[in-house]
Amino acid sequence: MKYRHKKNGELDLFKIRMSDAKLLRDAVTAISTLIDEGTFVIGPDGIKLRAMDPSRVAMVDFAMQKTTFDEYASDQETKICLNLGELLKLLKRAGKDEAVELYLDEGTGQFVITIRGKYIRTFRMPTLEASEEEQGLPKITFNAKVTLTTDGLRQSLEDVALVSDHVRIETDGEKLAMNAKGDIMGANIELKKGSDALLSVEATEPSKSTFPLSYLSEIVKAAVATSDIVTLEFSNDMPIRLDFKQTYDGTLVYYLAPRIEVE
Amino acid sequence: MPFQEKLFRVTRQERSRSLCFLCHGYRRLCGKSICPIITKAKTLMNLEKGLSKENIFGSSPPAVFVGSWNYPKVNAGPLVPPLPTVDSSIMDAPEMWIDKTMDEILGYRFSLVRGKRFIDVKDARAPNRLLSTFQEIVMASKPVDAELWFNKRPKLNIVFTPREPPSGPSASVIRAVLAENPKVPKPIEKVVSDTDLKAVDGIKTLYEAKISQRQITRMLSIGLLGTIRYKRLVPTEWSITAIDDILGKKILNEILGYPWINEFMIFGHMAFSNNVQILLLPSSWMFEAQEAWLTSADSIPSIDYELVWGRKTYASNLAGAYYASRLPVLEYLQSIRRQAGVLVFMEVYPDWIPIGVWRFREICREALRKEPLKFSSLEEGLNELRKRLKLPLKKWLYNSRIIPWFKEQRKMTSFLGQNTM
Repeated sequence: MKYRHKKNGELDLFKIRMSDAKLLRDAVTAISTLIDEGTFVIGPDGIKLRAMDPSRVAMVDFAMQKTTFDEYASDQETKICLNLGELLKLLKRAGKDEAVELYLDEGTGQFVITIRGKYIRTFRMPTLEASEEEQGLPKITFNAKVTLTTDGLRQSLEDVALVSDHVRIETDGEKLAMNAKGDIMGANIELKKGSDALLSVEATEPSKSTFPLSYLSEIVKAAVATSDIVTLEFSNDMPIRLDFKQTYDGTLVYYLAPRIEVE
Repeated sequence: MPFQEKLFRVTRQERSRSLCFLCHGYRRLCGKSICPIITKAKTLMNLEKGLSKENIFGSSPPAVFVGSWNYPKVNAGPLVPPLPTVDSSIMDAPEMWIDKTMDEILGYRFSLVRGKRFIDVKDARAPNRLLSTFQEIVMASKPVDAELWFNKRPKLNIVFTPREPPSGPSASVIRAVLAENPKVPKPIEKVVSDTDLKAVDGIKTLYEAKISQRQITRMLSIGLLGTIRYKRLVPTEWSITAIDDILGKKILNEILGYPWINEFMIFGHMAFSNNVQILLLPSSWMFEAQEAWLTSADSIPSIDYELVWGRKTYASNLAGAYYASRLPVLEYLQSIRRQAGVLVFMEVYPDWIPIGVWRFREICREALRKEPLKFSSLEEGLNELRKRLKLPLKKWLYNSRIIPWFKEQRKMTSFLGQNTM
């Protein structure tokens, strides 16, 4: 493991190398669907980001363990706040099988991205003021747990989006149902045990909850590139937890607050 | 991707709603032998006598008009009243019209003679002498004395459109000459001479340099903005809404970082037979605009809305009115450094003569200059709105997407432990 030494002999805060930039790019794409600016915590074990979207309706909890990287050196926690749109623009410049290196230029406060492919490109971008407080996770007891294919979920949501802007997700432990009721139209989707899209379903009690499609569809659409399997956890009128299984050692979890209809 | 001006076209719904209630622009379908609007226009047109000659000399506000008809070969040309060396700036300055009467505004507009010439929108990349002259007029900071020669005597043909104010007699212009060297503000000179500057960036630069929105709109329209490869004329009605949208988006990016307001606020103003009421909610940015034309007892408002990320598609139900009302609200939020959910209710009463979408922008601005009424609950706020709107509140609420969202959508903050937020 190579640390980069500065003139005064101190170590750099961190230095990271990933041989395939695609993983990082897809992860940032998935995060940026909810937030424009994000604070990454780069620590000894890996990179983390946890944040709520500006309307505080949804939350993303992302982690990439250091084993995902080809080179990872960081002996303390560093917080770096970046504009994700700008970051994504730069990461998109990395082609297939091109390596990407990240470090912080402490002198200028700039985040430096080096893409090594047929030739070497170095981009610098400003870091923003990082939020001090750490985002807590919601405390929820989930009564239902459903695992299905990400693509199956995406298609079901596309179906219900035709008739309404919110969807009721419910399960009795045997099947997963998605219902939407629009002004004049309705849609019902059932995924029974044994269907190709549904991998497992369990519930300690029948549970249902309603969610805004504007958020749910965007989340699933963004995560579909990173994951084939998603686990949904929910309870009556509580937030839903969407855990997209990653191909690397890490997590991509979203929470979305419910919509509670008042008569 | 170059700037997509065609997105901002006038939608069919907008046009049919905004034109004269009875004849929708086709003369005398109302059955009356004389159209009251045109009669009124004619009485205001006392200067037609002064137009016997085939050229005029006057001071342009500075103003220009680019039509959308026959796009991409459009009618373009300057607006010049036959009055030299007067301060004509008010004739094309909607931001100064809020305390004027309809008659005064129509008076300003009908005294503007419109020179026109068919020009291909792409000619902006290599303007000929005539177009260059038009462009020079628009770049000026003050009214410019100009002389126009026509192929025949300008004729009055009043056309009302949903977005831009009407203008007076028009004729094909064959020659245009400036009688003076116009004074061009530095930022304008800089943006215009930068042939690598994208239209959207140019617009933002000009706005930051405090160039008036009206002048930016005119500049976009006459083909002064954009990189050299993509420069083109933009019909005035499209450019009005394009600028409302671009400036709005710019401000929106900024306010998303601000804290939320902490109570319900109501602003309102009535002018020119239009009533605008604005309700601000303590939430993240959301925006909904509803517009109702109170032509009959069973009017139904049209609606468009956006959630926190803004719109990705054109607000085609309200079109011009949506963007014209969103900008002033964003400007207000920027000035108080706060974020809010916003509902705008716009009522148009039958004696309104369609003279442009600017009145929503200016009435909103006027409303937001006043002290708001503040409430601690949504119910109290809605009760106040009930008093201020002529159309029953029930009809507005039936349409609303933001109100149910506000009432029913929970936030993640309610499910966190106590040690956070």
